[in-house]
Amino acid sequence: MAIWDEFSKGIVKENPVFRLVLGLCPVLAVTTSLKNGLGMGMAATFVLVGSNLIVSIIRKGIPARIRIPCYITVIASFVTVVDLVMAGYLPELHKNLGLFIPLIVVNCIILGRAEAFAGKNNPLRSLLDGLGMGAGFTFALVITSSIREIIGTGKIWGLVLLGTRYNPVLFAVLSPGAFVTLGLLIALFNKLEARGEA
Amino acid sequence: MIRLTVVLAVITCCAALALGFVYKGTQPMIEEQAKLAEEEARRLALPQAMCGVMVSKESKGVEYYEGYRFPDTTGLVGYTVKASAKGYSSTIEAVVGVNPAGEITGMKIISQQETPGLGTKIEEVKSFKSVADAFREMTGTAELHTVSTAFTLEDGEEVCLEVGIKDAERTCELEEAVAAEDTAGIVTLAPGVFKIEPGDSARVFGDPATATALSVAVLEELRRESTPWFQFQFIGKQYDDIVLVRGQTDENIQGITGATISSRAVVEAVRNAIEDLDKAVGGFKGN
Repeated sequence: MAIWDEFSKGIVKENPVFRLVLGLCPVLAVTTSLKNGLGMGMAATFVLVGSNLIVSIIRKGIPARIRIPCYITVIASFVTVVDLVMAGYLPELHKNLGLFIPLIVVNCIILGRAEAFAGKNNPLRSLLDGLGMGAGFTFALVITSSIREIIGTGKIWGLVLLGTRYNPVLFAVLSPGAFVTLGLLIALFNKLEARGEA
Repeated sequence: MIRLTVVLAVITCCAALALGFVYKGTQPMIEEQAKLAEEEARRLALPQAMCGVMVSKESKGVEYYEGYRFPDTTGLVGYTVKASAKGYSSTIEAVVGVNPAGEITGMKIISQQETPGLGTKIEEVKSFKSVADAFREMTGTAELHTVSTAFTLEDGEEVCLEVGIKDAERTCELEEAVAAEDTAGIVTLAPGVFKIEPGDSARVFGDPATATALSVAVLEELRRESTPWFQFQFIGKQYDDIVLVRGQTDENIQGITGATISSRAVVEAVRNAIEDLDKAVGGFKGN
């Protein structure tokens, strides 16, 4: 597989949220605004890239029996770095994302890529895989949060988009709105995929 | 088996070392953020001193702040003190403001790690409104625009609220009037206190007197909406009120119910704060 394919597969073809249906917990929980969605996407991408790279580098020295604890230790370290840096430099975002930052440790996408890809491939491919998957995850969060913020508040990134006469549909920023938006987006991706295969 | 142990030990040691460096690098900034958050909490707990100054004091082992209406430390409006109590899964820390009459002027929880969706409701905010949102709702008009000039309210505490006042029919005329105002005393609210966004202002229809009255109402509305509804219940109550309500049965519950371990802990923290102030300054606990 070409280097570019290694990166691009995670964005659409194997998008972790819309195609693999992984890591849905933060997608449902923090996509109430574009700021939160982008923040969570960037944080997860950093952890994905870092953990993929380190796991790939040390993969040959890790006995198979303890590979999962080792992967988790690496992932948890990167998550702690994100948590500390965000608490110090982006306190508002850190407060908004709250518990979902530490919960990146148990995000299926990250452990999944470490186990299924980084543990079997060289550092360059693993790095690109992490970047692509991170970009795909961020893309999903940005799309979902943008739709919810626009419909639910009439704004995007705090800026009024639909005019002051627009009556916000609060449903969109509440939990049911997250399920409905995500369901419709997954359906749309399936439709596009089916059309592409036909 | 030994190899497995050694490999795992090496990886964890490397991780610990790396995290130590990151912690060392971020710690000053995290402490600075905590300091700023506490400062904002004090302003929210004692909004009457928003335009004035808070002076750090210590008496009988209690650290507290005296809040003054004016920057030259005149016009004592109350005190703020930090207190804590054990919640369900964490220690809840709060800053409580009390006026000289012993009434709670406000409180802000600054630290808690309670159960998401349950205990964390102690910090649940009814809604986040900007100044423009509040004005729009209260005036019923959708025609709101940012104005470059600001008008400072002149009566008492509300002098902090910076709003633009215009008249739909006489915009230019009023703009000139606003521009002619002495703006030397304008104090803008700290960002985030009432969710004022950069450049956020509102157009108020009507004469300045009506607009001023409306602005006061908006200030109250914003405070009620932006303060977590659970914490808002404490405002205006005294030490004995809290004890009395907690001691009652389901009948006649007036507000603070302590329905969860977390909310009971907040009540405990507020009581601790008032007890500390009573110890340091005196006259807050009643009989």
